[in-house]
Amino acid sequence: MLRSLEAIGQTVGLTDESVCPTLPSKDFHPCGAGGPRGRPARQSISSRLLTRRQFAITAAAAAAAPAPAAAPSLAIARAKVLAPPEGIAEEARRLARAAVDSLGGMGRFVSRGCVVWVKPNIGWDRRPEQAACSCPDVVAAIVQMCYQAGAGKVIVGDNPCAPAERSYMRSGIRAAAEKAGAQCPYMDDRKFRKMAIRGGRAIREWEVYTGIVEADRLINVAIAKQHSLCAATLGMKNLMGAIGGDRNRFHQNIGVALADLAGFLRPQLVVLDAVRILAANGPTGGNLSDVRRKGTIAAGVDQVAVDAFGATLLGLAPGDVPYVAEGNARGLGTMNFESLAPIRVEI
Amino acid sequence: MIRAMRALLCILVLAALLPGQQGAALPRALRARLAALLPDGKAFGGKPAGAAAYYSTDLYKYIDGGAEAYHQRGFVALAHREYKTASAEITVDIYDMGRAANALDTFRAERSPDCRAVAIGAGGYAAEGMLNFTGGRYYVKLLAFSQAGGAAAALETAARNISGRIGPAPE
Repeated sequence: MLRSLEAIGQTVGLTDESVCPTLPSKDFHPCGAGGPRGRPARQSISSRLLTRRQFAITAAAAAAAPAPAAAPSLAIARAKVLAPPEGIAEEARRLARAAVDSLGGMGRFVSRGCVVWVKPNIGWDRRPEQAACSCPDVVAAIVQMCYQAGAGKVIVGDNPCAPAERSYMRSGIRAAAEKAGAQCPYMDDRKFRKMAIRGGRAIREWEVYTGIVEADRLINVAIAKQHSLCAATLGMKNLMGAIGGDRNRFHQNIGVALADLAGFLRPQLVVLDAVRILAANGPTGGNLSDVRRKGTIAAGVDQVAVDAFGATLLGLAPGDVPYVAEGNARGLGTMNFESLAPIRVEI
Repeated sequence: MIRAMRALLCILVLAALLPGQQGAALPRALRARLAALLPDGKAFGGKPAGAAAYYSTDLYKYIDGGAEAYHQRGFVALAHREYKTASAEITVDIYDMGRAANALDTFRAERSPDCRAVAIGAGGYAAEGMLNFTGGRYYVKLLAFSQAGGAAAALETAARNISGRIGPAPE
């Protein structure tokens, strides 16, 4: 009987969420034993104890109601007027919140008790103004939103190119993240494990940080910047901070290798920080003359689309960035980000 | 079995004798030449913070992702050292690019048009917290991190000191 009820529900377009609004949205993935990240372990209708009457009422209401709009995949928040230097921190926090709220809020991605790994770019021994690392205020805002959504623990971490103790400090990310309540440990060399990269074309196995793989959620908080080798550092490139080993080997076939890695890690949410961008001499930067203020943050569930949008901020076509083109070609996402009808907000 | 063990031993001994590929094992003469270019810090009121570091084929360990652009232009080795002054932390990077043309080529590729020219080395320029110049085969990059500001003078003094050590456009 329950099976037939489920079949009816599917016939009339009922999802678990429409049966019970308190159930998570379509993109929600239960924490803990709900299955590997990126593969939704959704609760079936049959496991909910619905009475025949409740089901009939709900089904009728659902049939009468207009079809629910698909959850947005991409949101772009821009500052109407760029804040002066002393107001950038506040602008960054507001933009981050506006972008995530436009996707439906952090509650769409994080639920009570989740362990969330926030992966900013802390790669370099550079100050926030130099735009080589993610803006600390964006990171702090994401951490706060995670806790407000009920996260049990939020960890902020990266495997930097520069010595971690310097880049964590200089970037301001450690201080901002800890102030927001996150843990911000240095990555421990012993916790990288060689893992099979299923479907990998350039990399079949690699040393990946176990803490990131074991977290219930991965939120990629990247900065948009020019890159001397692969045109741009965006979200997918930022995932290199989740791995160890001889990372320079990635650069031999970077487009394909990064698509392999992005297909393996599949962050639930990508936040692209373009409050400031590094327009030249990336990835290291250091010269303030190379920094441009954009006052923009994009957030999305399609990592290729987020990066495709990010490429345009650097004056590039999405296809100019090898890993964006490769991710698009293999169906990780779409580089035609406008096709997702991004929600645009101005603050 | 014994033959295999002997062969393995020979390989290990040879590997130990050959010049290393890691920056830490730069040929002694090259390392000494680069070390002589690093200031002791007194000229700009600073002290070295930690030991100097050297990179060659392992440049990616210092600028992963950025290293290839240097290798493509003939990069030989990098000497890196950090200093602390009363008001700033200063980072000195001296890239040995093998030839003056390579150093200039790399320098030009990274030059930002909005910077202020300084009369140090060839085409020296500075912006807030940074100063770059070339001298012969060397491309020199200095960065200053300062909460209080006022690091520009220390940067210029450090740059002049290094330029003096390099001398007049050696190859």
